[in-house]
Amino acid sequence: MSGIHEVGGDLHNALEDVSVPTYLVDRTGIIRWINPAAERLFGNVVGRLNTSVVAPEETRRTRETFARKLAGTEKVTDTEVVLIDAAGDRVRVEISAVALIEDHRFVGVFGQLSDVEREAVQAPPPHLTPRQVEVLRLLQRGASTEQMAQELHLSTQTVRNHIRHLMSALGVHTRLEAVAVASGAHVA
Amino acid sequence: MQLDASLDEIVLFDLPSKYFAEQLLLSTLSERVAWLQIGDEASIVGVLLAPDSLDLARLLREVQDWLESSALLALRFELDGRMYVLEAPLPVLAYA
Repeated sequence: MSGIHEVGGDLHNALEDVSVPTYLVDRTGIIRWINPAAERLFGNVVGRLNTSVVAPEETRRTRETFARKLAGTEKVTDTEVVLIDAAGDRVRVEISAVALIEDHRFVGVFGQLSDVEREAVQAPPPHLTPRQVEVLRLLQRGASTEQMAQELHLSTQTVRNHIRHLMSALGVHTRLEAVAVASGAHVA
Repeated sequence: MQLDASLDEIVLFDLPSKYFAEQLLLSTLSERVAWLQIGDEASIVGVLLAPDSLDLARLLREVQDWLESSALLALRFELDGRMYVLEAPLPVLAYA
């Protein structure tokens, strides 16, 4: 950190100019600032709740992630999230976000987006619950039961129950079939 | 005094996980009309305010005490469609 002060320079303008979509959310979850790269992707969303730009099935996880930073149980998160861009299309991004602290108090979240998949991301089957969608996304990424439990802050037994219900909802019998069906493939 | 009918009588608390939501319900809100939000929103706790203008302040004090005992710094809550932050009485810990 001292290196930043030693070098000097206008960090604020650098954040404005950098091509990585960057944002600032206040302590109540309202988006207070975005840089031009983020505005090109999502339009002017300043003044809106952070959950307003995430896909519906991601709302619960977004609220939980924010709550963990606010509560002080997690300072930094790196998560893959599906967002809704200015055109209403679904885009999958990796968000690295950190809690901003001042005088031992949480004042907001600073985040940057990477690995933006600009092509439309297929919507999940509409009859799945948000939790089942999260489990499906992790299955698609090849996550193990233990990795899913860690990511979702659940026990492995609970994750297994969600997987079982997910497979039942999709009418399949294996995790591989669940991923294939959700990707639009026909499973004989 | 009657509550303003245009205002909501439900407070929604955002918890960091289902575990904390259940702890809040069991330890602090057991005497109130309170619930885990249905569906998958299991980390959100809803509380129905009593028809008493002081009940919101009472509820917030109760939850603030729970925050302190749970070593959580703060919670966000939603009332009348607006978000607010309730902090523990004093900062109790640094980030793990």
